[in-house]
Amino acid sequence: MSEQATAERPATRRRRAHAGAHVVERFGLLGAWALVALAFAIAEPAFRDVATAQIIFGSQSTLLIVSLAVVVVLLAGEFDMSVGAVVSVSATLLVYLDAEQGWPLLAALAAVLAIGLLVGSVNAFVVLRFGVPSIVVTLGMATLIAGISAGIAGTAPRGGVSQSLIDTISAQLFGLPVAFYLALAVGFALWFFVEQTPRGRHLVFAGRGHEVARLAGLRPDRYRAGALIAGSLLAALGGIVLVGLTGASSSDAGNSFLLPAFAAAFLGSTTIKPGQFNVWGSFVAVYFLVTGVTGLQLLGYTGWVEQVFYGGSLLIAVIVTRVVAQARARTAAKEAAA
Amino acid sequence: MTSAADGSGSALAAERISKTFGAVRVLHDVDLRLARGEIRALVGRNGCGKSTLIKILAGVHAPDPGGRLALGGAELALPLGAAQARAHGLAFVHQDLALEEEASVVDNLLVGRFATAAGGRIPWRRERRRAQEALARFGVDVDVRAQLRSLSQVERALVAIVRALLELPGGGGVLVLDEPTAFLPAEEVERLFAAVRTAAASGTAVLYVSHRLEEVLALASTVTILRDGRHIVTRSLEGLGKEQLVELILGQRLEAFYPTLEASAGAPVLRAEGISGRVVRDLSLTLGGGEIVGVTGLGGSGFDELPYLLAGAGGASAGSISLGEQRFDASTLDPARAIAAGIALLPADRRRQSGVPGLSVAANVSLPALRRFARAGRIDRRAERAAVGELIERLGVTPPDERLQLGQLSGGNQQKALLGKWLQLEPRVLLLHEPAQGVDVAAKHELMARFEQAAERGAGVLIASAEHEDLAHLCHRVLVLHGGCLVAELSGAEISEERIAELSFGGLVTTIEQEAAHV
Repeated sequence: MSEQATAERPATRRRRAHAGAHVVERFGLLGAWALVALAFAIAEPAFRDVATAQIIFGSQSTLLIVSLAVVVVLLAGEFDMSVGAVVSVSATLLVYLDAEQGWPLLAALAAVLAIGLLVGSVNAFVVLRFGVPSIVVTLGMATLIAGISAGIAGTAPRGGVSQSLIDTISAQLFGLPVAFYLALAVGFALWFFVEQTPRGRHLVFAGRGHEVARLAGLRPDRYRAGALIAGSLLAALGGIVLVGLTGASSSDAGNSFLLPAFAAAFLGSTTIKPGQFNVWGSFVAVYFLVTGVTGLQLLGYTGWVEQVFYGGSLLIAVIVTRVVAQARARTAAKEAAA
Repeated sequence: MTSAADGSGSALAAERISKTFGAVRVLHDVDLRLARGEIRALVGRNGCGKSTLIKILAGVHAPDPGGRLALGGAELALPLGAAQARAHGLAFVHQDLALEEEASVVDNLLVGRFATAAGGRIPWRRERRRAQEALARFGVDVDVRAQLRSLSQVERALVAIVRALLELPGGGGVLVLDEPTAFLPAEEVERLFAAVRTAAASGTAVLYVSHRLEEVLALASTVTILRDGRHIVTRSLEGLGKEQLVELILGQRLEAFYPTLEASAGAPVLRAEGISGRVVRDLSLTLGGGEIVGVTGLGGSGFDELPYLLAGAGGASAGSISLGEQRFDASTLDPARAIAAGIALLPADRRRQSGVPGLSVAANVSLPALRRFARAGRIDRRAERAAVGELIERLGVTPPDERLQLGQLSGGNQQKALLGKWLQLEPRVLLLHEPAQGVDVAAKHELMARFEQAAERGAGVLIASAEHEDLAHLCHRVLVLHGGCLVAELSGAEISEERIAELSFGGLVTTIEQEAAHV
């Protein structure tokens, strides 16, 4: 395709071919999602229930938010492996402070968000000050905060959080919980920031071309730090939503989000805006994954199927991303040499 | 075409090679025939089809049906597989060399080809000697146990070439060199040429792809020129001058390849005093408005560091930079303040420092001016696209489609777009580092006209480059650096390619003599 772009003529025909390939690339995953949904709808009558659609769209608000946390950090060219642990810790702490320590709900919520802010800031400080790869720093951070949380609040599952939180987050609006709209709002805000504002564009350049951004007078390190902090804050919000939906927390509740969130982010980068991590692509990917898992569960495959589907999807997504990126880099390199 | 040799002596014979991508035919019945021991240059503008032709030979692309290929007299079925190309004596060295920086020289050279002794172990002593001897034949004398990255650039290129030659059957085969000198300082290229000549003398046919026409004229005996995917001519280089070669490549008469110089320096726009960096030591210079100043020297002389030091890109340890009333400490100047003061820097490394190949032309170009397109904190993307579209069209970027990814443009068009990125800010000082590197001749011509225009509008232009000929034609003044210090300055009629080269090398001779005197 890029070969065509280097040939000098005829420009219009090339542009049309280019756009055609583009549409397939952009909406391929949406099509795959529709096919998966259709296949399950034919194979399993229960899948056609409205309740199933509600489960698919409503139950995964936490995953949507955690995926956004992963996306914002990936956009800055970093990895945050601590998002799962931050979800667990903030959920645990919220229930612990609210139900057991008797804090007012709002104070407990503020404390949880402050924890997210603190974790993100420490991540950013270590990454930038000492130049350690973020994947290692956040991996260490994940275990560290999980340990501290267990030391303070123990590891037992706990419930008893203020009913007002559950009532707010789980309240139904057009058949879906408020949590869903919250995730949608956060997604819209992130999309708006990345796609529509100068700073969002700067973030993308900081992630994809650190030197290019720096020599254009930007401060890419600030964007890296900002993204790591935003990622932890979003993960803390994910923990709050989790408690609001389930009314309870357990010390490892968040771990189950880490892998699906990365799978969604990478799978999402192959669609809507191919080649770049993007909000709506991640949403499509989350629903593709959840539809697959839900359908398989309705067909009677339970337990192991979730792991197989999420793990397999992440692998396939990174392979696809890699192959596409390599093909692009190869043609670009060869053309640079031509 | 003039047939270089008949079938028996021919190392490579490709006939009627065509290639169509989608609806676009990028190669039209191209013939290529190389005799044993021949050094053939393959030249043409970016997009002329030469890289497609190379990729077909390398087995990356499948040609359209109807072509024919024979290697060393053996007819091969097309499309060619990559392993097949190699097995039949086709070896490639690309611009990026494909070497492992962290590994040793002997590993780089022999990996995949190590002999094994009893128990499957590698007889290291013997293999090291083998590597050493192979390198010595081509004039490379290095410790093969050393890490590759401790070698100079030209030595690394030589290692890549020797490795490719080891793949070929003794005294035969075809070696394809795809812009191997793009990142080499001009004065070291001769070492590489010597190695290529040695290989050719032993019977290997060499296909040499390069934009540097001086090199083509110095090295090759014959040339094949492609234009718009068609074979234009294959002929001996004897009696062919550079201007004629350029005209054949462009397919049009060349009235004046280089813009004429008229402007003379106005009031100084930039004054730098006592600048020091990694190599540059205590250097002072003035740049006048409307003036084009060249900075050159040998590799390691520090000339290539200067644009970055002046743009606040980092690495300056001392000195001051003044623009009009504003005065900056060079060691604390950063790009943001430099840009705000009217300094623009176009780095040589297009893909890592200048632009992001995977993002759109529009995003790449608008980056430093993005806030201009902000309406209430939001980017007016229509205005952005329109402004960038208009800008790149004016700068002659083809295709003028701002929605394409930057990396989808050819090198010359990328450079035009990235120059536009800075020209839209109307800088008072334009700093350029090897601005014509990896750019075809036509694009180079257009770029140089743009530098001229920027100067005519009153900007001070500084070009750090080892391309002496370009500097000689374009610059009002040329500064020659050696060992981080200014050793000579040429201006007006004193400037000539020969004089610049002489002074660049002269500095070296003087220093060696001085050092000898101290001993």
